[in-house]
Amino acid sequence: MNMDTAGAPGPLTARDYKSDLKPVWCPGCGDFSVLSAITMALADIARPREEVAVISGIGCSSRVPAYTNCYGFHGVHGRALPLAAGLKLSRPDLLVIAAGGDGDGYSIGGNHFLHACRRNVDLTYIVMDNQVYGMTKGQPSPTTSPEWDSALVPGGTGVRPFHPLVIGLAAGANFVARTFSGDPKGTARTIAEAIRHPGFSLIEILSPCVTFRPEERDWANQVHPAAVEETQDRAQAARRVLTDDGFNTGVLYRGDRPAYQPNFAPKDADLSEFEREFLP
Amino acid sequence: MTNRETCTIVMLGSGGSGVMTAAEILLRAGARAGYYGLMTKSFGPQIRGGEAAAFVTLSTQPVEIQGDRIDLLFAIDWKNTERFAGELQLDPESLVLSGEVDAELPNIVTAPKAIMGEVNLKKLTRSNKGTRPNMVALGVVAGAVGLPQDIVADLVGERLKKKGDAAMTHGLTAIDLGYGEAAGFDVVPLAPADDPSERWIISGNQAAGLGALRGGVRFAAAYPITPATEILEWLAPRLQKIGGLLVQAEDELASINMIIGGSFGGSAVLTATSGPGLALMSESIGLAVAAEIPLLVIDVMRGGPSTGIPTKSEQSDLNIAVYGLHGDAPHVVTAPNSIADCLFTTQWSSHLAESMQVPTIMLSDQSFGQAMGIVEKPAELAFATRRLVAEGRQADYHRYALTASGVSPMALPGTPGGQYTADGLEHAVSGTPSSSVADHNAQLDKRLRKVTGFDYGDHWAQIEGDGSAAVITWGSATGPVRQALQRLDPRGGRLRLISLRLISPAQPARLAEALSGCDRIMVVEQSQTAQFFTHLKAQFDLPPMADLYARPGPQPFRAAEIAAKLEDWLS
Amino acid sequence: MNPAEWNYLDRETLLAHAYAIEHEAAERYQDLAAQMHDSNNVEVGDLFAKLAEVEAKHAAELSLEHGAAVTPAGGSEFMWDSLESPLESPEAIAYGDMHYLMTPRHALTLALAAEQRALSFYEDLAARAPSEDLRVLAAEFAAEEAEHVRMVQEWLQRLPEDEADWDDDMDPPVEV
Repeated sequence: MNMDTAGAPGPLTARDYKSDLKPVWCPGCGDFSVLSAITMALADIARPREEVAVISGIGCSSRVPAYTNCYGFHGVHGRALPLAAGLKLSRPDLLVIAAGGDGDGYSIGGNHFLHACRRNVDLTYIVMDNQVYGMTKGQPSPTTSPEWDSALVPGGTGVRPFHPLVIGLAAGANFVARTFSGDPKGTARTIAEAIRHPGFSLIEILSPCVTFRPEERDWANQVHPAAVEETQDRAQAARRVLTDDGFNTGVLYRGDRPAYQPNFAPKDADLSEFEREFLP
Repeated sequence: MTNRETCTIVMLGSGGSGVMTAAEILLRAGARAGYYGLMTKSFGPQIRGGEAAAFVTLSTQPVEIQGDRIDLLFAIDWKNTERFAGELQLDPESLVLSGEVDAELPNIVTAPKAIMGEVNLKKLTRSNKGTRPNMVALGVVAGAVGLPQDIVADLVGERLKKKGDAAMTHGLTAIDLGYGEAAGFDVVPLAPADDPSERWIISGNQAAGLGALRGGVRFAAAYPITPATEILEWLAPRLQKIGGLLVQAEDELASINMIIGGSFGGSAVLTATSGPGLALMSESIGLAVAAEIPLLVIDVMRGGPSTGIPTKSEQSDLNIAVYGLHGDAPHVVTAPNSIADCLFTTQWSSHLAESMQVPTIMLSDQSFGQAMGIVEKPAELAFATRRLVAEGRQADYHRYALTASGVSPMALPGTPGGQYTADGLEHAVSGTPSSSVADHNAQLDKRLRKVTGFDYGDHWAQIEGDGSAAVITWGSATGPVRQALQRLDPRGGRLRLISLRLISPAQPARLAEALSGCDRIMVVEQSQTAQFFTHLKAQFDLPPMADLYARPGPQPFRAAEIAAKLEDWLS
Repeated sequence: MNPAEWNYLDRETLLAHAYAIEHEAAERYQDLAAQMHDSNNVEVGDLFAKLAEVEAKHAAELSLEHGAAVTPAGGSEFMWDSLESPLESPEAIAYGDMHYLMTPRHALTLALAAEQRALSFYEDLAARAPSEDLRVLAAEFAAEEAEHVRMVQEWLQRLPEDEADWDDDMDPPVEV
């Protein structure tokens, strides 16, 4: 990852945005495709690698920052979004991407997810949703179906799954899309659009876990690559996504809220004005 | 009888009666008249309308704590004032003035057999339309202790100017009425102040805020919590003016991670919280240790555990600050030893964090944070060392390169060729995750070396006096101990004071040096389980005769209490 | 570019696509070889590495012999982007089709399907390209792919059938 980037001729390719570090993921994992999609999108955006930061929490998919050749932060479980927001707010010049999985983003990080949508900092949040905790060997996540049997929750959770897109819409995400990892090119295009769209963009990527949810290999046959109709109407978007079968892919909603980015006053080191406040 | 050097005044009244405003003007008038001073507050639990007590000590000498006893108490009313039992040290020489005539007085006032007087506020304000009871009370109190009326009148005028001429006139009339009433009471006035040095009126939380700005902090994220919120509210608008930013986060888990993000991006950063918030942050402070992210976390301590007593002070977060991180996680813990020192120690703590690329937890407490002091204008200091940054295009960059000091140049995003992934996973020098024995040992050593090999200079402790016995203390216990030592050893030479500003990493060699010639020590702290003493015993070499005076809050230490304990100990 | 726009296809674009097909296939095989080697499935890893070499050689030839533009993968719009299938460039095997215990037979079956997709892409182009010289060029590429198809088929015939329990996990996954 400590690449010497000097003198790379011509535009950067997707490959140039990948590091040499080998992913820990299982062969067949959807996250390989998502990594490709992210790097393709970055090649398309064509920002220098050093101006991009990829921020994550903990989980299989959260390993992604080190597999890019950008600046990265692999933080603690569930806290990618506030870390990314802190970086973006203090360094608006950077392109900041947050990435992770369904457990990281919707369970332990659920509160941050709500407030990141609401705060609308110019971030792109990529959630690789495989409906399972893979790193800890197969426990149900907030998006797991209620009947899915596991060692930790025998007989299934019996609990209705979390609906990230509807919640994202309700909480104020400014760009909402669903893609499938098996379509890396389409995913890359969506990621590039999300990056270009101001404010907080949520991309839910159906990304199969072939080890703990081998049945998810069948998602390839279930997704409808034909996009759901894009709208700027949040209510309509919510209705569509609530009533679809969960396998519609494409950009669902594109809002027009301006990104939250406070205007910085010119840097000033003169504190004497504040010190005068303390005179009796 | 000679004039008194120190006078402790309490103004009582239920919320809305204006005692806090009156007491603040009293403190400010004291400052303008050249006195040192301190103002602390005590409230009932109600958000509005609760009973309130303002304690103001004015003195010709620097003041760090309220007096042992109350010289003058003025109650605008007596509603529910039994709540302050244990806080009002009245005695037969105290003067208690009741703003209500023929009021039923609470036991806390009658039992000590204090000298009683009455001021008929209702009658005075009714016969002078527009005047307010709290301004009359202010006039009485200010007049009784001998503050010049023109100073008080100026301050009242400044305060009421924006409410219009009529309000200003009524205010001045009220002050005049109060001064007139004061003449009827026999109070020993304050000795004239003769020190014209420049003074500030500042709270510990404000001082911490200014210290942070002086330390270069330009990005903050925080979640409101008593008694730390004033740091944040002081900083927020001022950061905006100087090109910085404070973000209100959704919780402490977010605020600590936001500042980790900001610091990763190159900003000097801060969050401020109290015990419960620090507990929530501790996982991510561990991340900052592993990923070597400079952070300043201010914990304004309050009574604990759990929600505890949010509005009152205790020194009981030492353990979580020093020992509360998971894994072997070397970091820095500091503590200011006075209201004014909140400024210096915050600035120093930010400097330590930046210099060593390490999280630094500063333990302030409620008794500093929410108290207003009249203090000497703090000196302006600048620390030369800042964060070691990898500048310019990097080739073969290793974020966690092993260096002699343990500190490695940090590439900030935007630096070409410096790309790395900061990681909470153990890593090789490049930042690449590694679970190898060699990498773990090398990185653990590096992170420990950073903080143990650093030269903290003389700032590690405040050392005063000389003698064969020493009192070792920290934080807000320092003021009461200092005052107790002045009483017991007015000419010096018998007793030393050692107040640790650097709580961790321990500096046993420096303490041994500071204790040379001492054969016995007493440790004083405000914690039920003697957290500081336990820390000292574990990390330092103490003389065989090491004694302890430890008790929990929320009752503040008073000099008389400490002096009595020390007298027993020395005899 | 959707099929309706293929009427405007020129030689340069066709060559760029041909290059991209081979280049992306080569990169994908490299990735898959690395995955298999990481999972200690050396046999399949070596097989993918070999396929990567074949595709990389083919890409280099396109560039050298026909002057194909060296088009970076990703970002650009490709003719197949608007098609429902394949979702990726025709000759790339999907990441999702991997299994760490997969056999050489699985790998070659996937490779065969990839070559067949490339073949049908060029056959389609040879039938529909707007000019004779482009149709000839596409047919030439189709013939090369047909050769690859035959080659992979031959390799496959030499392999034994897989055991029925090839995907039995003797060891459970580990926590990382």
